[in-house]
Amino acid sequence: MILETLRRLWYLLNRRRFERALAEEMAFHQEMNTREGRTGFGNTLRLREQARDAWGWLWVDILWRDFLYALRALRKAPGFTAAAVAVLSLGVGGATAMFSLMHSVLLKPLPFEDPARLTLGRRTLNGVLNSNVSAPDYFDYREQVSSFEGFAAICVMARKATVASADEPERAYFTYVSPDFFRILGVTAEAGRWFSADEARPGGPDAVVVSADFARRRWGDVRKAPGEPLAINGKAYTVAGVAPEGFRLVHDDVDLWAPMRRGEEVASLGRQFHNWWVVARLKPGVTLATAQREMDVINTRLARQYPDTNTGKGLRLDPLQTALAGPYAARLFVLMAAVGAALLIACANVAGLSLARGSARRSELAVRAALGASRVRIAGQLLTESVVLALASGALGVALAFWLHRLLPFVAGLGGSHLAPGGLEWPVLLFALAVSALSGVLFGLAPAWRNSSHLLAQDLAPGGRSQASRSGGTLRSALVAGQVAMSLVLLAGAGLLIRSFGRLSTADLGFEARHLLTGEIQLPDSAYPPDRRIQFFDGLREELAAAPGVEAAGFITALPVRNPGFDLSAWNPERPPASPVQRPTAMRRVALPGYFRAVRIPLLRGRDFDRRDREGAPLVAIVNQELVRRLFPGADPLGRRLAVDNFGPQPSFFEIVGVAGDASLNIVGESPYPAMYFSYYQQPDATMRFALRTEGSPESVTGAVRRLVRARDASIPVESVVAMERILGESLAPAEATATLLGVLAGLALLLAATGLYGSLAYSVAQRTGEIGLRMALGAQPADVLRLVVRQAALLAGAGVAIGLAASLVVTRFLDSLLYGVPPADPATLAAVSTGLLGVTLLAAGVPARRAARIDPVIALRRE
Amino acid sequence: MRILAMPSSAEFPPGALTLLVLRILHSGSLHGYAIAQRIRLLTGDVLEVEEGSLYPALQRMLLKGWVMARWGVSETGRRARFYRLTASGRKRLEEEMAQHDRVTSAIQLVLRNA
Repeated sequence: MILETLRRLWYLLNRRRFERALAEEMAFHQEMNTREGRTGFGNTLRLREQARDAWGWLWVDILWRDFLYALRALRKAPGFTAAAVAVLSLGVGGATAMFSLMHSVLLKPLPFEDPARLTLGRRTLNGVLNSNVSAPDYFDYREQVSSFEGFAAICVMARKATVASADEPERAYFTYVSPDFFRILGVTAEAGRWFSADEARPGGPDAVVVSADFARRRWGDVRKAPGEPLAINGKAYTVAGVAPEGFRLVHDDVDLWAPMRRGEEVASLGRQFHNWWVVARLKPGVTLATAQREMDVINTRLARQYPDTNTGKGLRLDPLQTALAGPYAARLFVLMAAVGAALLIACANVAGLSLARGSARRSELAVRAALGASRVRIAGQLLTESVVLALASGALGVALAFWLHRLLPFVAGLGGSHLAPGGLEWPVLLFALAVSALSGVLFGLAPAWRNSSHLLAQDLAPGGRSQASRSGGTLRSALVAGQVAMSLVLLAGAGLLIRSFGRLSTADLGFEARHLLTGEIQLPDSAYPPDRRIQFFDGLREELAAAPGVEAAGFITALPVRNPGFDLSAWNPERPPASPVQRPTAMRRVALPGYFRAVRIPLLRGRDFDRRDREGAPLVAIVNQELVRRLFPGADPLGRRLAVDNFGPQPSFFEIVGVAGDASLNIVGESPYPAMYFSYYQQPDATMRFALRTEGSPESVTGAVRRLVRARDASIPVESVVAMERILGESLAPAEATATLLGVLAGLALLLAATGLYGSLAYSVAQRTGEIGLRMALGAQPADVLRLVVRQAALLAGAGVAIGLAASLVVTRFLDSLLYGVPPADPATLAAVSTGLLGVTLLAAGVPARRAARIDPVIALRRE
Repeated sequence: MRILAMPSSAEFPPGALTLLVLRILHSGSLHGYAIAQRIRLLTGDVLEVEEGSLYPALQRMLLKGWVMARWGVSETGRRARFYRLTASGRKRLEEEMAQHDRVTSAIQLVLRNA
């Protein structure tokens, strides 16, 4: 068997020699025949073919010959080849780039050991996903659970901390993880080790894991890091180990991970404070469903044990990868589908081109048929041409994708997130190959079959216009109508997204974002006790308000849109909730006087804070409208009290002295959420953000801010100084990018569909020149001819638009999660898009129509 | 397209060609023409191999490794390709002859006793 294959290979490589030998052999035989007076030798050609067939892998042979033939044929038609390659490479390139993005976000396994068994656990309240888990709950889960071989946690908040060692301090992001976190993920330390049992113990030595980048920045080499001392926010730590290169989970830019220890820091908070996500590894063979059931049982038990805090609480387990990619998934799928549709349109377009070209080659194909080629073989040859064309375009497309895929993450709204792809990986290249080949078959099959049919003797005569060209007409029309229909769907989607983005960008934010400079200042705990903090920020505020170029200065713990901050339970003491777990929450903010004026959030009732509201004075709060709507419906809240959870047994009570307008707290376009503002003099936080209303451009006062802060304390950095408008822009970027990309795709699709229609009509007119000439000779006016052609175009376009509309109604429903203020079946958008498309297509039909009307009947009839 | 058939000779039983060629080559190496000639002579012109069948069959046997070919000089002084049996060809010949005997005996049984 193996020998036989080897012999075949040998034959293939030496084919010419073998054939010459055979020819010589047969010549000898023939000579002998004649010598002996015998006649008849048989068909030498056929013999040679048979001999060859005995040796070769027939299909390899055929494929190779078809391939060479295809190359020659394509070279002879440069116009067609260029057009087809251009269109297809764009399509394949776009699809590949998009798939590359999808692959790295959704499909590529996470860089952890056995990632399929990793799950993410988040809290649900009465079945609705709520998000974070509390530390005591986590510890209880961990003790009681049995479906997992590892149950870790990571703090959802990451804070900036000042890190110092021997040399200069820097600011880095810092978070907590359970001590077995890295081990459960199955990653090996780049240097050093993970947390030891001692370091995991409450009260044990303080250790921290650093990122590879951080270690290199600080100590030059990652191997030098373990064992080094590090002061974080003044507290002394030792570096235990270095995380693997590029390690990222949940947070994009954390450099320091400290162990979560029971009773310390964030892990010391009670059951009603939720700051953690669970990252757990299932035992081999245990399904997610089983684990989920176990969690439900445990949660029921906890609810019974701690009815105040755990009623209705659950833990939802999701596969880690899909959970993390969740927010991006919708957008990616939409874009992928759009790119796929564009590729299909490209294929249909090239198929139309192939059909037209096939008619021009009828004589060539007829010769082949006459020589004995079967229809299957001819169709096979044509199909090979299409596939070769597609593969060549695919190669070009991959080159295009290399360039595109660097841009795409930003376009798709993923920016610099950890999910952005690195290079083009082999599954993506495989995808490109598959898509190219498939496209080739797709656009080549129908034309190949059509062009190889009814090859009669009359086709051998040049210029033979048999009825076969007419029968290709239905296929061509279908292709054009299909392109128009799909373009409509893309246009509808783009239109909806663009409108939605328009609504989003003009949405009422509740404050004035222009001419607003923002930034962050964190005071170190050790050097700044509460009274010094008040002194610092209050003084700074006054200086800034007086600075040139600054109209007003505001200080707040969490800026709108930029810093969601955290929420606390707050309720109306006159209508207390039945149990603590049912207490409503409101976002907490602390402000200095003048904040509302600076950001232009209207104070609808009551007053702003002032110096009266200081320590020792009655506790005051300003609430937003949404809070009033929820907690004090239909009543005047001024003068009433607000009960707020304060980590202690009894809540604190605040007198409501003002009502402010609602402002977007988290992202643009969210629904209103209750918020409460407290006086800074009564709750002086160490980290404050400022918002300066400037007369000119916001950046112009940056220098002044830094100067004033430096004058107060040279060791305090001013961070994240950026104009509010830029933050808004970044928040809107994904929506803008998706709308833009879809718009571009739709535009290209429109162009393709219009050219497809134009091409088909022009071809049809050329075919029917004789018929039109006849009509005109019999009395038809140019206007009649014009009407004839335009009617044909209108029918095609109309059919396409009708199908497209029907399809749009179904497809746009999937866009629902991405739309803001615009319904998926928005009639205005659909109407606009339909009319636009019809208009463009009819315009495209104009040229062939006019050309048809100008046909000289004499010339036309003479040609027939 | 059909290959010319000599009306006077009998139809060539399928599969028999390989057996005959192997047997003929067993006695010594021959070139293609000589093989055809030998078959004609030995069967008294009853079986006639056409070139269209012989050469493909020889090619197939080369592929399978049952024969080997070498260029030599014919009796007329012209260059010709001589085929000879290989070891595996010899084995194949034995197998095919045994098979042929079995089949022929079976047919005989039916013809005699049916």
